[in-house]
Amino acid sequence: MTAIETLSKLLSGLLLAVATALLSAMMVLTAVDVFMRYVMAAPIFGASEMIQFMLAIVILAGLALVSRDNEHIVVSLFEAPLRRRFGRLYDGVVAFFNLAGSVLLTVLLVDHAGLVGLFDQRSIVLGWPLATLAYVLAGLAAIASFMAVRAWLVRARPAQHGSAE
Amino acid sequence: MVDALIGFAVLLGICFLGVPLAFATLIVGIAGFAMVRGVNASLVMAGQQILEIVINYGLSVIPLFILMGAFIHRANISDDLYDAGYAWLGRFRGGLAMSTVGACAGFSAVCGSSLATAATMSRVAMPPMRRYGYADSLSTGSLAAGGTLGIMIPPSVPMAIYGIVAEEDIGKLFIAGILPGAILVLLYMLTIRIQVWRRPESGPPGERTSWRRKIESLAKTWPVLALFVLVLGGIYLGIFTPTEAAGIGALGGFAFALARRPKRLHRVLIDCFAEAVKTSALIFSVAFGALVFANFVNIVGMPQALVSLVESLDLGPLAIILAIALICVLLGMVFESIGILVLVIPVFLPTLMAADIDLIWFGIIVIIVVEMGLITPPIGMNVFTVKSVVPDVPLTAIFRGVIPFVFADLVALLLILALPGLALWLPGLMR
Repeated sequence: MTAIETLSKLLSGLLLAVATALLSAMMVLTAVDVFMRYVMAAPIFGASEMIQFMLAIVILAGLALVSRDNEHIVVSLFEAPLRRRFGRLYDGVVAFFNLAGSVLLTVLLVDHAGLVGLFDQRSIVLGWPLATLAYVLAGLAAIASFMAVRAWLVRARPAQHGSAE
Repeated sequence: MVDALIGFAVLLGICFLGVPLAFATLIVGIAGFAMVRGVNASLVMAGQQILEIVINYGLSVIPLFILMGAFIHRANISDDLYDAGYAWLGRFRGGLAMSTVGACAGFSAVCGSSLATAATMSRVAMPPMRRYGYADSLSTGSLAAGGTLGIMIPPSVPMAIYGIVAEEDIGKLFIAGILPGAILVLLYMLTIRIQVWRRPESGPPGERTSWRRKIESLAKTWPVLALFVLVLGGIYLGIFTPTEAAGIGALGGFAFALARRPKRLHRVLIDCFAEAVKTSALIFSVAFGALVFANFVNIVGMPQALVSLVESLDLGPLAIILAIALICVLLGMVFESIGILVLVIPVFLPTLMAADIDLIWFGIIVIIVVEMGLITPPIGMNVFTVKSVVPDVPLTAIFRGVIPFVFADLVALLLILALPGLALWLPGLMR
């Protein structure tokens, strides 16, 4: 468990740093692009595609952080009575679906990366390969799966029950 | 049609178990599509949908506007907004609750989230309302309802999602939300006046303030006004796109946060980015899950079946809109706003288009309906947000407090249904 916690902390810090850097870059890039277009009459070449690629990485990195803290949007209408009635079994079922969702996302992105790689699909302006982006996103989804496992283990420990809420 | 209904039933069942909405829609959508077209086709469809959503340039407004709101929230501008509201309205009976609604409107003008608006203003407005002996139901009701202005007054995250799903101009939607947002503010204030007229002890008047203080307090809110004018003015005049407006707004919010020199600046900035990244991820995951599910619903022919049904029943546009609004209200009892938009809109889009209904007008109607879902039981996410800030107030008291505001929402809905120009006049003037 300690090794998992250490790795989780390390990955969380890294993901937050990357996402922060990219989101800052998106913010600055859009503003500078407008300035360059109106003042210098020279918009940044491919700015919108850069933003698209950064957006994708920010979202998947964020998803891993959400999985770590088990903060997904849920319909909590029957959560309390179900937990009272079924206890750990209920937590296990929910954790299983969380993990299954993350793993499914990873599989989908790997599968799609292979597909777009096969046809060498690229972005229109900058010509950046979509397969590379999809593989990066699949990697982030895999980290989200790891975070889901970690959240499951934290929930399963009686002494720390609920700490992942 | 039957397949789609079974899919919806399974989806609801899994959601009620407590499975995240994003994964529930994704799993049911993929499984349903696979049953019709095979596993490989289903995997390809889902992978393509996910990649298309996360690299959608139009959707980059979401993290940027959330970031702008986070900066403004951390810059403590909410205190100044409330102070200005109090200076102008505090001396009236129910004035503090009206100040709360006014401050919520101001905060909404730079923040696209109703939950953030409700949470922020609860922390600011609840202590003074308690000090002046306001009834808990009135104060918490005005906070929960005032928070819903976050998604009507632009910039608004649900409006951006609607724009993408319905393939409508996000800039026009934002501009269309201005007048209905102002109407809602007035209706909420009127609701408060009626409540204190019926029960004067529920909202005692505050102290009078001098004109000098009124002007000074208003002057302090200039960052909000400046950002609102910059962002919405830029979109309205066609100077920049919504995404560019969001980037510039976020940079402006960042500058204001820096200028306020908060303690532990480094920590504050990290919190802002973490909030924006995680909230955006939540919204996007719900969006791609729901779109995969919508593909399954499409492939089994539910939208076409609905068009045929509407044609056979010879329903007029108004009846169609009311039926969809009713479905949204019912779903609003279970799902949160983004989930409703991405589940319902794609299904009914062909019906709306066949009936020649203006999708900007319809967007505003849907947003009001979604607002109602935020304050009606059993979910009422804004109610729970206020409850989390003031845990000692019973949930029943908060729900009792929001009921009059639900009627105000209904009045606004009827007004916009009867007078589409309220939503369509300003977008019609855009360049």
